[in-house]
Amino acid sequence: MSAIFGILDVAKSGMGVYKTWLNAVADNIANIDDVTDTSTPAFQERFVQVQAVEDGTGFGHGAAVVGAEFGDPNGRVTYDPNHPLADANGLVRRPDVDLTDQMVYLQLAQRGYQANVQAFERARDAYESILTIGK
Amino acid sequence: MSITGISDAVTAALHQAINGLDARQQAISSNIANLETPNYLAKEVDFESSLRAALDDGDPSKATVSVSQSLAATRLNGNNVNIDFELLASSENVMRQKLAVQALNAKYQLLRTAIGNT
Repeated sequence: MSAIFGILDVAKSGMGVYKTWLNAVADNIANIDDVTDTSTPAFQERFVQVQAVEDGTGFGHGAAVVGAEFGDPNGRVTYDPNHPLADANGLVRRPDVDLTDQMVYLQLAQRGYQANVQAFERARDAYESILTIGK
Repeated sequence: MSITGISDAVTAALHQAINGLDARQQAISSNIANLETPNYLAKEVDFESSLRAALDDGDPSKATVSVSQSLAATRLNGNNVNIDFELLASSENVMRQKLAVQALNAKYQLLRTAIGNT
């Protein structure tokens, strides 16, 4: 086995991954109404890339964020001639972020985080019981 | 590696069981951490069959822990972790581990009585 109390690290890695995802989703929602002029790229939706981590035992050592991916910089060009950023044709650029998608991701990330908290508590229970050996 | 008289087949078997259950707990935690990781296949740990065979041979310390990948159907993202199963297994696994620890402590208590130092 790797580090002492290693399973707590595994659960921690899971919590970290889902917290990063929550951050990304929150950022996407915060910027969902951004407006830019048509010559600048729109806010790009953030996606989190995650990979499983191995520690050589074969039992797995949690997950890790390995990078980010970004949505379409073209966004959606909409007609809004009264907007101060509108170009000669009355067009502005908005980010291509779908609120429904974001709310689903929010739920997934939140439930994932909670599941990892549970895993952490179970592992702690197990270690507490192991520490009573010989008492 | 065992101290004759204190460690016998019972303590060795319980030691192996606790080791195996610890490995399974790690695999379960890893599965939960990778709940949404694309193309991740759930890990399953087995030590019971090996421990049973080792006990039949009279040397429980020969038991090994093996890990395999779940053959369950994958979702669209290539992941097949089943969250209800993992959480259930996690709770059950901890209870099994506590049981093994209690059995080990009962064994030690017996030895303490025999030694005369309660």
